[in-house]
Parts: sequence; C-alpha cells; structure tokens
Amino acid sequence: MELMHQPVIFVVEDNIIYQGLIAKELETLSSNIHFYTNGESCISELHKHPAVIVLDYNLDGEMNGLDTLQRVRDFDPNVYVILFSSQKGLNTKEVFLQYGSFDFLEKNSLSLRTLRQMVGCVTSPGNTSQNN
Amino acid sequence: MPLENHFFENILDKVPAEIMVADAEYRFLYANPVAVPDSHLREWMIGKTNEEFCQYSGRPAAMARARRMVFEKARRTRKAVEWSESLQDNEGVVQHFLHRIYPVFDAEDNFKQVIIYVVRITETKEFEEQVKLHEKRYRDLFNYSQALICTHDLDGNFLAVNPSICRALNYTEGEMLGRNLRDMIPDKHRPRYEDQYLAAVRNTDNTVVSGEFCVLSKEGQEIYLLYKNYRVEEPGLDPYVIGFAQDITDRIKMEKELRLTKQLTEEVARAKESFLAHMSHEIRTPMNGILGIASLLKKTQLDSQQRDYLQLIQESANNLVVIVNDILDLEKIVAGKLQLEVIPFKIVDKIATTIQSFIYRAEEKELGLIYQNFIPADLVVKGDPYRLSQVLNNILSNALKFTESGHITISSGINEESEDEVVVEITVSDTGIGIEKERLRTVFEPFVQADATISRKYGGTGLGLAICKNMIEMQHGDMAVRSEPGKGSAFTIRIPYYLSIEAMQENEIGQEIDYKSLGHRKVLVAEDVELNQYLARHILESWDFEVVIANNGREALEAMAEASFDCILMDVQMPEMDGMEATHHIRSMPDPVKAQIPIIALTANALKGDSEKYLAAGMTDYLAKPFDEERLFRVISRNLTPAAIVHADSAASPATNATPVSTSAISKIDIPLINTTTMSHEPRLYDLTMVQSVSGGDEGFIKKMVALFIETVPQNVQDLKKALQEENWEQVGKTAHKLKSTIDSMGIKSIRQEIRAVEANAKALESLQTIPSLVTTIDMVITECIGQLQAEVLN
Repeated sequence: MELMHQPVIFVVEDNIIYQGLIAKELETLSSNIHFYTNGESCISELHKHPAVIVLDYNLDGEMNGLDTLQRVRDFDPNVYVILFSSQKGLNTKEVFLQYGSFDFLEKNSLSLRTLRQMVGCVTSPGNTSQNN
Repeated sequence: MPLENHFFENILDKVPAEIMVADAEYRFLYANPVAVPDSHLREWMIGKTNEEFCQYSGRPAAMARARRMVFEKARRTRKAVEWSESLQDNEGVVQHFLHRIYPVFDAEDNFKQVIIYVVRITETKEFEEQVKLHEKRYRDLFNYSQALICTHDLDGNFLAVNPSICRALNYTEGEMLGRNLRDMIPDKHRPRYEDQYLAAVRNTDNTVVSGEFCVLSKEGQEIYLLYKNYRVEEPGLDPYVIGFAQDITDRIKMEKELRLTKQLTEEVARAKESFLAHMSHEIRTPMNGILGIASLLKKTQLDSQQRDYLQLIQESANNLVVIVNDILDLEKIVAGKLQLEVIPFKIVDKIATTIQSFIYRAEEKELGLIYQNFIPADLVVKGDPYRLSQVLNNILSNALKFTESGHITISSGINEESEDEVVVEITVSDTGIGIEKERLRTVFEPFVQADATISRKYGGTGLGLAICKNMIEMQHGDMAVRSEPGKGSAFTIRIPYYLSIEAMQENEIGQEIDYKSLGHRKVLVAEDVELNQYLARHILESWDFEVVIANNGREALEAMAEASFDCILMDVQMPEMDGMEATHHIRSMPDPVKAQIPIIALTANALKGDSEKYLAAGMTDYLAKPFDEERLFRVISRNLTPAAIVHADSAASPATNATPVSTSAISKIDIPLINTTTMSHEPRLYDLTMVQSVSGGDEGFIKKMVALFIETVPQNVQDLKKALQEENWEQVGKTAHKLKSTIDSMGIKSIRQEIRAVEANAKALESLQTIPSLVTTIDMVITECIGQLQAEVLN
C-alpha cells in the first residue's frame, strides 16, 4: 500500500559510488528508486513510468546521457529529466531545448542536496520542504 | 405657297418641342400643339400680344414683362437669346424650361418675326442639382474627414489638400498648394521617396501604393504617416494621385520609446551584474584590511573591554562580508543554487552572539532586549551557522529599526525532535509600529517594504526579508509573520537541523590551532595591494614562515627563478601579469619541482563558479578575500605536501634526507608506509565531509561507501592504466572522467588537479606525454588513500 504512493525515480549513473550517494540522498523521497548503469536498461524499463529520471552523461554501454534522453523523450515527452553530470557544456540552452532535459545540475560536493530539492519539488508538488 | 405653308405647319405640329412664332410687335402668328395643347386657346391667341396671352392663360405679369425684355434684347442685338423659366404645373411640380428666341429678318434685313423655341429641361436640371449635392457631400467628406487627404500629380505637386492634412502639418491650404511633396520629406528619406514612392505611383501596373512616410511639419517636426494612395486616370485628364493618410507619429514614438526602454532595461541589468561583481571586489578588499588588522590587534595586549569591542568589530565585519556575498547570491537564491555550509555548530551560542551585537543598539534606543531560551546549551547541530546568524541579524535589526519604545523578545526552542533531527524555532517579537494587514502578504517579496514611505524614513533596500525567507526555505525551513499595526510584529523561523554526532572538539570551530605546527616554511606572496602584503607577511611571519613579496605575476616568476618556495599565495588580479598567467608560466617551468608548487589563488571575486576557473588554470586551491588567519592556515596546511613535511622533519633530524623539497605527489613513494611514526605525520589524503553530509549521521552508510570505493576504484585505476598502455586516449578520457567524480566524492584533494589534467589532455589529445606520470601519481595516491581508509574508517 505504502509503495503505491511512492514516486518512481530512475537514476542512471555508471559510477557506483555516486549511485550510493544519490541513493542515500534521495531515500527520504521515495523507496521506489531504480538504478541503472547504462541507458539501454533504463529505456527498457520506462514502462514503470518514472516521475523523475536523474541522468548522468557518461554511461556504460553504447548510449551516452543525451542519447538516452532522446529515447526517453520518444517514449514520454513529460517525464522530468535532470541531467546530473560533471560533463562540461551540458548546461546550455541548446541542450535543454534540443534534447528536452528540464534541469541540469553540475556534480560537485554541494550539489547532492540541491538534487534532492529538485527531485523533491517534482515528486511532491507544492511541498518543497519535506522536513516540516 | 398654301401647300408649302400647310406642309411646314404639318411638320411644326409634329415636332416634339414647343414652337411659337410672333411678329415684330410680339403678336403671336403661330403656336404648335406642343406649346399650347388647348386648340381653342391656340386659335384665340393668334394676333394677341405676349401680354394678352400671358394674362389670359393665367401666367404671372412678371413673366410677361420678363419675356418682353428678352424679346426686346433679341430685336436689339439681332441675335438669339436664351433664358430659362420655371413654372408650377397642374400637379404642383415645378418644371424647368429652356427658352430660345430667334430673331428673323426680311430681305431688307429688317426685323420681321421671332421664332420661340422651348424645351422642357426639368430632368437635366435635377441631375445638375444632384451632381452639385454629391459634389458638396464629397467636399464635406474631404473637409471634415479626420483622415489626411490630398491629391497630387505624378511629380508630387499638390493639387488639393484637406484641412486635416493642413492641421497635421501646421500649414495653411494656400501654403501647401503648389508645393511639392518632396519639399516636406526629410533629407534622409528623400532617396527612398523618389526611388520607391514616386516610381511606384508612376508605374501603371499599380493603382494603389501604401506604406509609411516621414514628412516634416512647418516647424520641422517629423511626422510619420501611414498612407494608402491611389492613382486616378480619367480620360482626357492628366493622371493624378489621391492620398489618404493617418498620423502615426505617436505610435512610432511609442515604439521607439519601447525599444529604447527595453535597451535601457537590458543595459541596466548588465550594469547591475557588473556593479555587483565590482562592489563585491571593492568591499572585500577594504574588509580584508579591517579583518586582518583586527586579528593582528587581537594578538596584542588588550583589557577585557577592548577585547569585547574587538570581538564586535570582527563579528560585524564578518557579517558585512556575508551580506556582500548574499547580494551576489540573490540571483542564485532565486535560481535555487545558493550553496549552504553544512558544518557542526552550537546553536545556542550562535543565537546568543548574534543577539549580543544588538545589546548596545537596544540600550541606545532604551529598548528592552529579552532572550528566552529553551534549547539545551550544548546542543550541536549540523547546518549553516552564517545563514542563521544573517537571518537573525536581519530580523533583529528590523525589530530595532521599527520599535520606538517597549521591548524586543527573542525566544528559541525545539519544535520537533527525532533521533537525528531537530526543528529549531526562533521567534522575534517587538512592540513596534507593526505591519498593516494588506501589506503582510508582500513583506517577503524582494524590494518591497511594508510602506513606500518606510524606505524614506527608515532606509533599507527591502531585500532583507526576501533573502531571509528564501534562505530559510532553502534550509527546508519556513518563516512566518504575525503583526498588529501599532502593537508590534512577531517573526518566526523554523529550521530543521541534523544533530551532529561529531564531538565539537574534533571540528574546526572552537579548535585551538597551533600555528607553529607547520615548521619553518618559505612562502611567496604575489599580491599588488600593499595592505594585503603587510597582512600576509605579518600573519605568516608569526607562524615562523619566511615570506617573499612579489608585486605582480612577473615579479613572482623572477622570485621563483631565484629561490625555492614551499607554496605561493597568488592574487588573481594584478597589474602587468595576473595570477592566471603567472600560474600558466610556473606550470610549464622545466624544473618539475618548481612546476608543481602548490599555488593558492587569492581572490576578491566572490562569484561562485570562479573557483573552477582557477583550478582549471592550474591553481591548486583558492581562498576568497578577506581571509583570516585561521582560514589561511587551513588552506596552506592542506596544500603543503607530505613530502615537504617529511623534508621539514628530516631537516630537524641529523640524518639528512637527500630527497629534494618536492611538491610532487610522486615523491610520496619515498615515505615508507609501514613506518607508523611517519603515518602519524601523514595528513589524511581523503576528506569524507561530502559522504558524511549525505549520510545524515548514518555511520553504516559511510562505511558502505568507503568499502565500495575500496572495492571498485582499483579496477577503475587498472582500466585507466590499461587504456594508457594501449594509448586508447578516448578510453583514458572516459575512465578519468569517471574517476574524477569518485575522487571528488571521497575528497582526495591532492590529485584533484591531476585527474582533471588527465581527462582534459586525453580528450583534447594535447600534452599526452604528461599523462603517464600523472596516472602514476594518481595510482600512488589512491593506493595510499585506500590504506588510510582501511585503517581509519573500516577498522
């Protein structure tokens, strides 16, 4: 029953350490988080209808983050995709428009908290502060 | 002749016109049936005079007189005379007749007879009147129309102008007629007028030409007209143009103003940005002086009162620095990108010191300042103490500002509590002027003060509460206000904090630093501002350091050529050669030891994101000005390499170490890892702050992450080495990229620069020869780091 209300969150991240960090940071938001190290497996599970996809640029497998993003958009134009990467040059309007990401967040020591806020905003609309 | 007479009479009787004949005395000889349909009257009238006929047939005497005058005129002038008559018929309809009287002369040229010929012209007359009426209507339209109307020939000479166009251009009709349109076109538009407009109206393919004109009024004002002109061609007339136009000057002006306003707004926005960056620089530099001198002052002999005052100077100055940063961050707050500190601090201490700086101000205004605390005094939470202090400062200074008598009460307590989290609630209530109900809603909006008159009376930007609210919300808290005008206001903030599991003494705050623990070092300070040179020299010399000053990047390079240093403090903005350029030169020095010296950027640029720029330029670390002794010590101590420490140790020992002072991590292989005494001197290669901050105090999670690191990273390093061996640069770049975030997440700062260089060089296929040694360094440091983690975290 509880699981029914948990938003589905996809995290596509090839760095296992970062997966761990993201998992910890997001665990208060949902217990229904799925992790992938490559774009292909993420695409094959889109039928689970994720509310948010946190997407790295560098991935294992053939597809990079932008390839994955395009395939996600083919499937569902509305799913909220956050590019979370240390790759330079993704934080451009062109990428946002052409590939349809909704947000970009650069990986650094402080951005995990911001990521939680972003994901929190999407998964619980109107309630941005989840500690109160 | 009778036959002939009869013949002519027959013809005349049939002619569909009134025909009468009279003799030289105007006695009727003949009238045809059209002229006089009544046959009795026709017979009767023969031989009768005009006057007799008119009287008998009921025509007015005036008409008889008029006819006689015409008759006399025809006789006198011996020419035909034409006149018209109007007469009401039996049905009361006025009929118009055209009369023509022809004089007839005999063989001796004597006046003999007249022939009177009459045509009814009623229809023709009506038509003419209608034409006149239509003409009047058109003229009225022309005269009273709001549209600007004119006609001109194909050369642009005015033929007619209406009052509207005269009014619009402020000419009289007389002044305009006869002039040429060309004279009214401003010089700059003339080519267009001639090439486009005149050419278009002359082109017979067009009948309509439309567009925009700029013409000059009599006073030389530019008037913009939107016109639609028609070329008219009437048979037998020269073609001409009818122009209809509308004055759109106001619209054009408005458009111009809008464009101007838009441009201005954009300029203002740009100016604001550069102003902010500038201001941050300008304020930070003197603040550096104030803070630096204050900390030097603190080292002198002071009595307790002086010490208290000094403390307040430092706190206020620090707050100002924070505020400068916040103004810069305002944009970032809105974008949700403000970076918050997550450090342990004693919340009650923070609240108390913040309140303390208001005691004097409250005393000055004779206001009571009451602090009621319900939080355990030794509670240590993790979060951002500066933001808390800033928010409280803001609320307190508002309370003081808007309260003239009475008191200000601060109460703090714990609202909710769980195993690892508390929600701290702080309320500041005053007995001040209060806020009107309608304005309560907007007090948190930027640049809005409760009352426009307030900014005049009390000053302030109106930014404070907006920043506070945003800041609190970013910390997942909330901020609320209650108020009653005339009675006072109460601002309440609630912020959730994680409880800190670390004991305070293990943390930076409150920890006593032994400034002489680094030993004797030689530091090069490249800095152009004399005050900052002085500060740096005094601080560093008090640590037993040797200091060499360079006034700019060029002097720094000269100093580097002459001597060896342990570290460089490099100002970014300097005359002649700036810090970035100097760093570039140093990094490409042939001597590998010198080329890898730690360079710490000193910057007054508070804009976040700049730090990445400095690191990318090859700098090792950075320190934002104004810096204090503590921060300077921390940044220097974390960048002095272990090898250098060994060198310092060995210099003190009789056994001289042959290893040269090196900042290169490669030299770490000289340190025997099994030697536990060396290990204890060995600074931690990792920094788990990030993992800890994510963990929320979950020790198991930290261990899990560390274990994961130890498990996966050696494979990544192997992949990197393998790709390097195969010279598969794409793979090198990719693997380095992956390792980069891992290294950052474990806070392994000593190879932060190296891993970035590997990624960048491999991707750009540049300086590939540097990669093998960089990878070796990375491998060494990671191996050593894993050892430390295993020993210190997992056990």
